[in-house]
Amino acid sequence: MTPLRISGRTRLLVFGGLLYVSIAWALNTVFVKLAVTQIDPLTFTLFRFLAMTPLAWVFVAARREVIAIRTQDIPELLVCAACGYGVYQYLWVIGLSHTTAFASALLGGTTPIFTLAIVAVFGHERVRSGRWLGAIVAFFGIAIFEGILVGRFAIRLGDGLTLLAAVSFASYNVTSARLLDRYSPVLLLAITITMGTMMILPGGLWSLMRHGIPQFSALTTATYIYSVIFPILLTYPVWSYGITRIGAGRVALFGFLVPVFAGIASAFLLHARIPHYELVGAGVALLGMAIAQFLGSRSIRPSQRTLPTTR
Amino acid sequence: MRAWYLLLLAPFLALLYPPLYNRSDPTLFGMPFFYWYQLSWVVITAALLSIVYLLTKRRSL
Repeated sequence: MTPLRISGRTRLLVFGGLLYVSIAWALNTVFVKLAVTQIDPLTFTLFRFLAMTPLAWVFVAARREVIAIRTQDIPELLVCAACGYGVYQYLWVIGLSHTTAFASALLGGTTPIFTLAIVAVFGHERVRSGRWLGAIVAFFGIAIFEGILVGRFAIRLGDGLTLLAAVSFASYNVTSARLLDRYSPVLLLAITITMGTMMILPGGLWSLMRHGIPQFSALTTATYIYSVIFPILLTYPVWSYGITRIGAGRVALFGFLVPVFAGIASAFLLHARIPHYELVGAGVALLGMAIAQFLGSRSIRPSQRTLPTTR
Repeated sequence: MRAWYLLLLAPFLALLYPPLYNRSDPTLFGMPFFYWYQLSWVVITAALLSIVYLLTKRRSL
């Protein structure tokens, strides 16, 4: 997909839109963090996905796409759904409930690095050395973030689960890349989110039975509605539009802003205190991810049509 | 957008505002409203998706 030539005004509009998407995703992490302090994470996730699943199909219908699923693709779709939603959501939301919103956004942002590692290990694509350099810098940044330079290095439970969630979503990127040859991004999202919800259902029901009917305060209701509507409906079209106008590589750079905005938002909304070493580590990790993005932009078939993470 | 696509909005809207169903009564076979309401929508959503799928498939042939 070659980016189109666009005027300065359109470019400004696209950049503004992508900035909005970065802020919206960052706020989603902060809002879910806020919600899971009041409602069990698995219960909250079940609620979210029960409402998000029909919404994804509304999106498919609005784009007038033909719903057709090939029987032979079902095993691959199930793996894809598990990596992108079923397993991913368990790891991500439980991880988030055990760590800060800032750490969750930063560590979740390492997904492209793990995607790179997976395609390299399985020999799907040749990876340039520049990308590996970026990956090493990014992981060194995460080590700093986890306290290696202040003598307290230990991967916390929440951070470990979030990193596993990033690995899971990286696997989703790899499996979905094959399926995107046969399914449109929106249809694939709807199919996998539906299958993923079925996988979330047992954990969510178990959590519901264990904790009873949750109490929804006005704040929890508001965060819930936000987390249902924003991650897909009110951001994905803008993100996709950005890819068609300026290309996937440049759009991906806006993804690096998500942890930055999440850090700022969590400081204001959750009164989170971020130690200096975490800020330094986050800076180095983001630099590493940016290096990996720039120095190897032609080495990997960037998933121009891959969907952003549905956190 | 064809009118029957609007069917898909029903489960989304029905589940979007938890205070609407966040209560115990009325119970169904002893099950609190909160539980059976949500589980019913899982079944209803599957049924609605099937209807829309069949209609889409038929019209695209």
